[in-house]
Amino acid sequence: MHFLAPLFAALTVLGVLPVLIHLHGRRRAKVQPLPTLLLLLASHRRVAQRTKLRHLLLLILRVLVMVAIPLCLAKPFVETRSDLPVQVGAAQSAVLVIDDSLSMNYRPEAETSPLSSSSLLSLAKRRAARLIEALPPGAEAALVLGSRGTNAPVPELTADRARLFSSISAVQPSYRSTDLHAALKRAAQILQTVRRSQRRIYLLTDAAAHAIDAALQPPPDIEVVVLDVTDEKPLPNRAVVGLHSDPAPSLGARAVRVTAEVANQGDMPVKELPVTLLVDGKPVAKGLLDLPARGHAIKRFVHIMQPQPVPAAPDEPGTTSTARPTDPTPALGGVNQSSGLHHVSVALKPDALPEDDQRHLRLEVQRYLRVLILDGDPRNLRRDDEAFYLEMALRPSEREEASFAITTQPLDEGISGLADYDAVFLVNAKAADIERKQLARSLRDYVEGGGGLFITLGDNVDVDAYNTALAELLPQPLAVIKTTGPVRRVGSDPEPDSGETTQTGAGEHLGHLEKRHPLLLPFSSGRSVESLHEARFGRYLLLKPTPRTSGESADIVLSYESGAPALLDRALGRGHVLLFTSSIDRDWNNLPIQPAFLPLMQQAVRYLAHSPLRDTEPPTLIGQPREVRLQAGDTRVEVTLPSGKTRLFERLGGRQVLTFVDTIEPGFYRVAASGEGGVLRPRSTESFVVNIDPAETDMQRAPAARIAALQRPISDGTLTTHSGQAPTRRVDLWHYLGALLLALLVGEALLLRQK
Amino acid sequence: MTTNLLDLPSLLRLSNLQLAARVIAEGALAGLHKAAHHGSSVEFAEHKEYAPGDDLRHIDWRAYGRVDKYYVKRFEEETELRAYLLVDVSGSMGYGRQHQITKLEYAKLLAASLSYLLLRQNDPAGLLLYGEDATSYIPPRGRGAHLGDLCRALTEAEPEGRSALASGLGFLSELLRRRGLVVVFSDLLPSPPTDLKQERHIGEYLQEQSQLLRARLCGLRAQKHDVIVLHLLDADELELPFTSLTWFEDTEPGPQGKTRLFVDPADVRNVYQQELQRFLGEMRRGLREGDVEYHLVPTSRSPESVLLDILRGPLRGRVRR
Repeated sequence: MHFLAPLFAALTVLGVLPVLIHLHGRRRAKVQPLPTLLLLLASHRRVAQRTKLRHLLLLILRVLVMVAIPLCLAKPFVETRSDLPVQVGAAQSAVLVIDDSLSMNYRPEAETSPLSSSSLLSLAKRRAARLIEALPPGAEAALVLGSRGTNAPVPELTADRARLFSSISAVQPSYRSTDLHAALKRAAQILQTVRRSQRRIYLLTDAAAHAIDAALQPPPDIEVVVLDVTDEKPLPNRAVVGLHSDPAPSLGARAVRVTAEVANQGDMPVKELPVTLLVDGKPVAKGLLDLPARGHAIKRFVHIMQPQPVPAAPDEPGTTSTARPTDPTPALGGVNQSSGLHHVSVALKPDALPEDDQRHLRLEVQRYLRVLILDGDPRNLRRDDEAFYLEMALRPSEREEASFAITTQPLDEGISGLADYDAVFLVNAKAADIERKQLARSLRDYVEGGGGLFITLGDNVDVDAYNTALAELLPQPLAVIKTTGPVRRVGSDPEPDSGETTQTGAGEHLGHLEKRHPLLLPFSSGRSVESLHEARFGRYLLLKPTPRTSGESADIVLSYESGAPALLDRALGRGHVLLFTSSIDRDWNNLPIQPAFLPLMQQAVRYLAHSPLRDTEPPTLIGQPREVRLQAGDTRVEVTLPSGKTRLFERLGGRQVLTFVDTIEPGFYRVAASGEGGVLRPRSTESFVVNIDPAETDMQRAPAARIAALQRPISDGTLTTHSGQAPTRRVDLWHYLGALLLALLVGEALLLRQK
Repeated sequence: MTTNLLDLPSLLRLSNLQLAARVIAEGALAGLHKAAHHGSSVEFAEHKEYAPGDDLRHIDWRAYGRVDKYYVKRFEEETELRAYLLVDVSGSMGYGRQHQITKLEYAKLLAASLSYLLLRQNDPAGLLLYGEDATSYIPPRGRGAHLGDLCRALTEAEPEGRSALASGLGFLSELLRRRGLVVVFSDLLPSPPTDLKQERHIGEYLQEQSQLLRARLCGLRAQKHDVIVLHLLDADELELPFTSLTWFEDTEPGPQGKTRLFVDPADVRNVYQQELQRFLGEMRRGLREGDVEYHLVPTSRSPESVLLDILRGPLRGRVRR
């Protein structure tokens, strides 16, 4: 402690005065004879204890008063190390950049003081407020946030301290990732309007390596001061950084394996960290995990999902009968259990940054689907059978329990019970067989009732006979066979010198893929798309260009390079008809031997069966927009965020996609849609998950050299940040002593009044 | 104050008291005289054989019927008032506020004034000065010169020693053969116990001593004596007006010396006055229950007003013009 007027401090010895007065007074008190001394004694005994205590308290108070008075006059103060930079005292224009990204939610004292610990963002806000207080009169400041996609709370320089304090106080924690590049750029734009020589950016951040990357450069002619709110302390953190699921067919059709990748950002290994698997918000499995220091570990769970049967979907008022039915039952907790869609998450025991201790996944459970293959060209040699490759695609391994129950039947056998099947394949059928069996009528009724029909063509197809027999089913009438490359005869591969081929070229590839069609969701990117394009088509049917005029249109899902349709989708009643204009075996194309064939066929079955489609969920991170597919007739869409808040979008008629940008929370987002005047119904196929950016979980500090490079001095040679002694701050104590003195005097007065 | 009570100023004062008393007494006597003529408000005292000149209206015809002799009734106003004045001369009676009259001096004035009134009408008055270490008894006589003896004894009395009033009352009780009037001049304060430090329950001790005193006084009344108690207390004892830290000490030291108490009067004043009021209330109630006339007399009050109270009260009709 120091004193501004130390001589007065010596007078604190006056504190012994009250004691001396008390002792002296006792000796010098006058003697008074009193005949009623007995009465006085009796009275004194009644109040002696209380009186003694009061006198003692009075003596203590008086001693303290006698000590406090000279101390106040001596004006004591202490000096503390200030956490503000030395530059803050100079006249300047400043922009404060407060990093409000996810990593700033870290609570350094969470382990020891879970209830009272402050987050790094709280510390940054307090320091920003003190920085504003410390700016000299006349200095101007602005405020910018450091997370991705945010606006500046105070986008222009101002001397209005109240506004700055209010804006600082209003900064809220977020899940967003850091974008200091944009923040520094924005700050530089604000300072460009100023002519003052001292222009500074104060960056209040956790100085994490993911935030201050090597590419981050200070703006020219502007000094950047980095205020590390962590005080360079290590920040251990654990996080779930990856999550995906795979089927576990060895344990059943509905068994899934959930794999979580957990990272340990601390220097100490972690033993037996509790990990919990949640399905639809309920914990279903728990485990323990050991994590190495600064390492990753994998935790796997296997869980058997329990979907419910799908009831019949009622027609929605106001929609046409060709519209694809929406989910038949209301969602339960945002998830349609009847369709097998689930919200899966993996959670760790919360630590100092609990927001990254959970990750989410949207999981679809496949129904057990029954498929009927009507084989129009059965062969003794299975390999030559028209349906061979199709069967292999739908049942890849005999050892595994299949998700599809396949019944293959030649067309010349009796056919009954179409309604028992979820999808029917009519492969290379002869028109005569179709007419003899009156199959067209049955198939039409089947499709209109909600079934799915997949028609493939081949050598047995007679164009005119087909157009007659399947007039009510075909999306478009057939026109003419086109041969563009080698075709295979049965039992042999095409030989160049055999004379049996009608090769007119190398064959044609697929051209346009309608990726928005549900069938092609697995083919959004990567190897699957390439393998589709690698398929070569030697022969296919051209279709008559005239669309049907009955009001039912067909969607072209796949096209050839020439633009001719390869795969069409026609909605008929409550079902769909898919027409593949080539063969399903290797006679006319080599699609069956492409990797894309299996997922395409399985996806087609699920689509026709109205089963939830297994899509490779494209990851959506916080702040990234999400496309929500709309159906024909959708005019209103409501998106419910994980916290329960909703966003309603109206007047969407005619649009096919809604771009949703409010991905501000991690978790499961539910979608509901309706037509004009209709009731919002859940659209669980469009539900999606949003996760935090895993980069924000790494709390490792950026290298000192990188931070120093960011804080390079400006060109006029003004003082840099790290020169000289650490700044100190004087804290006057005599104000507090004065208040204490006042309290002591009031206390003495109250005690005296008690007499 | 040690002035000769029969000095002129005192005498004048006393004469003033006599004049005032005479005026009050004659006024009262005038009233009593009227009442006495009607004979209805005066209490019967004794029979006397008829002698020529007695009032024929007072002949007791019943007695004549019984004994065939003429007797006349004599009333209180006609009987001789034999008074015994008991003055407490213990050490506590020597207390008086600085430059003010002490309780003993006040008692002397009162006793002398009352003696004068009684001796004027040839009522015998005696004096008992009682303390632990000194006892002085002057039997009642009715002649005028007796006043000088009484005043002399009063003048010579000095306060000392512990209180022995209860013993004095016991002495008086054995002494009195005939019905008389006993007037006690005292502060009624018991002396502290011999070993105060051992005495844990001072309140109980006070009560015991007070009860003993009351029992002796009531006992005198039970013997058909008229008893008047003049409870003399100084204003300091009543108010405890002291303001600073003080060593209080008792005025009647015991074998182990004086007892002292260092206390701030302000700390104990309220409780002290509660204790004092309780002591006075118990004394008042107890004596009145025993048909003893009790008067609390602060020494700040004029002795004349006290005498007037006595003449109007317990001696009403007894002191003649």
